[in-house]
Amino acid sequence: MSGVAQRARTRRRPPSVCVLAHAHPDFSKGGGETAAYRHYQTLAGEGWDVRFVAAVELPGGQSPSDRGETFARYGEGETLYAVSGMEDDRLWWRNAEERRALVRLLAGFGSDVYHFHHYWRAGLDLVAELAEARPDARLVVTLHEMLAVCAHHGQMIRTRSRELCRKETAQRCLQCFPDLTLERLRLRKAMMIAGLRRFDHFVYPSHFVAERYRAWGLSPDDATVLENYIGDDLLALPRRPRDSARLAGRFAFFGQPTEFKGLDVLIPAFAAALAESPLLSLVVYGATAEETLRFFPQLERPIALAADRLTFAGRYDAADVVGLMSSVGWVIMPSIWWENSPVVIQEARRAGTPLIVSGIGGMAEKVHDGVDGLHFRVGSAPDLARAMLEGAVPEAHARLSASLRDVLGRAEFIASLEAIYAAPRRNVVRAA
Amino acid sequence: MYFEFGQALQAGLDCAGDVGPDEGAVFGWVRHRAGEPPSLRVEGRPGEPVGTVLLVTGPRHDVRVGEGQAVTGFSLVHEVPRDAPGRLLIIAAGPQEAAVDLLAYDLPADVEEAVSSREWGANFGVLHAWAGSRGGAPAAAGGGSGGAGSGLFAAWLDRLPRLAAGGDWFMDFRRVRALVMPDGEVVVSGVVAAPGPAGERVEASGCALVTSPGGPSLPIPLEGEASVALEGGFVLRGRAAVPPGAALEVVVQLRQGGQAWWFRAEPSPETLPRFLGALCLDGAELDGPDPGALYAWLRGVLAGRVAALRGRLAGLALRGGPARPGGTALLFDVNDDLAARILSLLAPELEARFGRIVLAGTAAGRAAAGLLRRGRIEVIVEGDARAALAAAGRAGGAVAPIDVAALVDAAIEGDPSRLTANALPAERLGTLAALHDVAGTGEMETTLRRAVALMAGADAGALPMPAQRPDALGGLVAEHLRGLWELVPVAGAAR
Repeated sequence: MSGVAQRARTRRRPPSVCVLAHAHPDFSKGGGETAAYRHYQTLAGEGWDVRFVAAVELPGGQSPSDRGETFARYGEGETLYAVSGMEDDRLWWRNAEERRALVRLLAGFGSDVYHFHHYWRAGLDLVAELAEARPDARLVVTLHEMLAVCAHHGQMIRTRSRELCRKETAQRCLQCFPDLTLERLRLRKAMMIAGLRRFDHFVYPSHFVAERYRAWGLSPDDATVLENYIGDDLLALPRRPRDSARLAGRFAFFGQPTEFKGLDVLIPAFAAALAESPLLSLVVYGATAEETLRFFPQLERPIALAADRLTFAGRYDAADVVGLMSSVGWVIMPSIWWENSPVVIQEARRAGTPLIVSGIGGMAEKVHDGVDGLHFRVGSAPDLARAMLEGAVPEAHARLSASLRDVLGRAEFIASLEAIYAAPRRNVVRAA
Repeated sequence: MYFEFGQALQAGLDCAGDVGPDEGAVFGWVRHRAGEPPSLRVEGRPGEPVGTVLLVTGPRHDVRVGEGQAVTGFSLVHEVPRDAPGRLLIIAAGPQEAAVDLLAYDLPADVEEAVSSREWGANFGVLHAWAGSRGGAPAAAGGGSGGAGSGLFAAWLDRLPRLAAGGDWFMDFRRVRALVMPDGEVVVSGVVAAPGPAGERVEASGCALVTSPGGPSLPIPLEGEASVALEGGFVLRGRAAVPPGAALEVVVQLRQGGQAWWFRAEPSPETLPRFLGALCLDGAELDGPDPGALYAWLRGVLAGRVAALRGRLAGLALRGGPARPGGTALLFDVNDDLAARILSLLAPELEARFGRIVLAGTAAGRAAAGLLRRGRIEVIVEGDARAALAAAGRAGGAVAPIDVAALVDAAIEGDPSRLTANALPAERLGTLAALHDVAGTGEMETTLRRAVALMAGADAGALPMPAQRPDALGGLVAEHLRGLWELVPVAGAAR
């Protein structure tokens, strides 16, 4: 082998990566931890030197190790750590020794890159300590949500009026949290931003989230918008052409009957659309009628009006979701909050099923109105009924389905990560 | 003992004795023609008067007055005649002059006993005059050879009601406050609990009583003593030159119509806003002529304060300059755990810029723990800003006072260099303490916050002021506080 070829191969050696997540999908099925684990699995599948370290909260605050250590191995290349030594907000370590032990473990991996998914349950202090312990390593974080920006669980919804919040200022936040003080809210922001600035690079799953963080104060210069990778298994599923004549009038909802997912918008909208077009149908996956009525008692009448055209299918297995989506003409996402980068949209695109979504936030970004899906005015049942009737026309369905993009591919995902990881570290201030 | 010198002049002598090796006292009264007030002196021999230490006259309601007559009570303290056969009290009124040889009669000679049994207003008058005339006399209160508590007025003073700092109800008054500023400026104020007849105003006067450890109590004057007579209350203000380490009390007399009150008040050290609040009777509802009278009086008092402080404030310049590495960061107001966290997150930047950090606030200990664990910077924790200021001053070098708002700004803007923009030489930190004493708008933390903001270019008029009573009096006080800070020269790097 020539010297040039050797150097080329040396250059191409991927960096060693430690992926850290706030949870392990064996214990919870949130979008962030699922994306983090797929990230880890994908790199491992590519032959990278990669580890997965995840927080876990076991009953009674127990350690994941039967010897009581803060952390424990959890299969090949995977580690679980306990967060009982953290403050209640899970942004800081109350027990500095536990934090130090964890930093020693992480630093000891000798990874070139530490890629966090979330900083909640990792601790901003741990990030800062790791940055000092490994000044030669690159620290990256994927910000799946807006917890740093908004004290209301990162949802950017006004606490009292439930209005969508479009701008963070301490003065506006004080209206949402009148029991706090302006100083406390500014301290919160200062802590968050000072902690996040310990990262070298930020990855956002949507331009919407990226823009919110830019407006909040994080530099866009060290940022990349990279959609979550949906995973090899879902990507391997075939994507069949749509039969618009048969499917255009079939709608489905995938999700929980929680207050921000918009079931209370969807079902009245469907009942109204049904009055004009009696052959429409709607399946609600993820909730039973009883659960739905428990959350939204006011839906009793529209549910009765929809009669057998409305089906509550209850729980579904995540592995089946693409197949279920393939069986309907439209996936509807009527959320009344921003939805940063919804997995449901990725899954529907993977299935080849167009979406009707609230025209805000991550939904509006991922579904292009009139191009590969339809928007309606957020929270408006009449406007959603209008969109459903428009989508139920086979020609419209066929046109929009035909231009529906597939999700981010594996090669593109890997290439993006390589670019992110290859960038030089920023100058780091060291203590005198 | 009664003496009659004809129809136009009579006298009564209560006592005549010595109050020290060099001084004697005569207490009594003179009945004379109205409009012909008496003059009194003591002579060793006829035509050889001795010095009058003080002569205090006042009413004597216990003596009958005939038509066309008046009665003048008196307390005369005089030098003791040397080598003289007698001690003549000369009483002159109008064209008539009479003499009484004080040694020729069996007059009561125990002056202290006389003091303890006579009308308290007369005692107060003597004490007040004595304090004013000589700047303190051991014989008056503490008693020269006998030490504290055994002086001429000691027994009487012990019997006076005592007020410590203040009380919601005290004698016949509400919201009575006795406060003192660091420079000895004193205010005693209160509100009449049950208003008297219209037109009867409360006249207040007082003198200070200072007691050094182990030493006698000395009556001293309230310099610049001023009071306002109100129907619904009283305010007495003055300045006492209190020696270091001495305890201060104020002996107060209040008179309204035929009523009078005397008490001893122990003023408590207080911030300027609370001091000014006592001056303007904040919390009291004033009506009738009182608001106008108090306004006019207060305006004069505050103008006098400004005039007196102008030079001093001009010398307390705040001139911030960039701190060099190795100096001291003085971080006060660290009262929130989040501030402690921010300090931990900014620790590398702080360590690169400072050699020492002084922390104050309820979360200072937690903030210090993170820095101490790192072990790269000297960390000092103090309980409050005043102590932190002193600690920073002892450290020497340049000291950068940093409030939480500045810390937050630096963190949010990602610009820690701002923290070093406006440092003061350690030897100039006394300026901050002096500013607080003279013009502080709250606790020391408030003063430091204000100083930091001003050096950073904040609009002085927009900085917070303590709440005042919502009327013209409150406006005067707010304007006074603002005006004091406008006299302070300020320079620094703007935010």
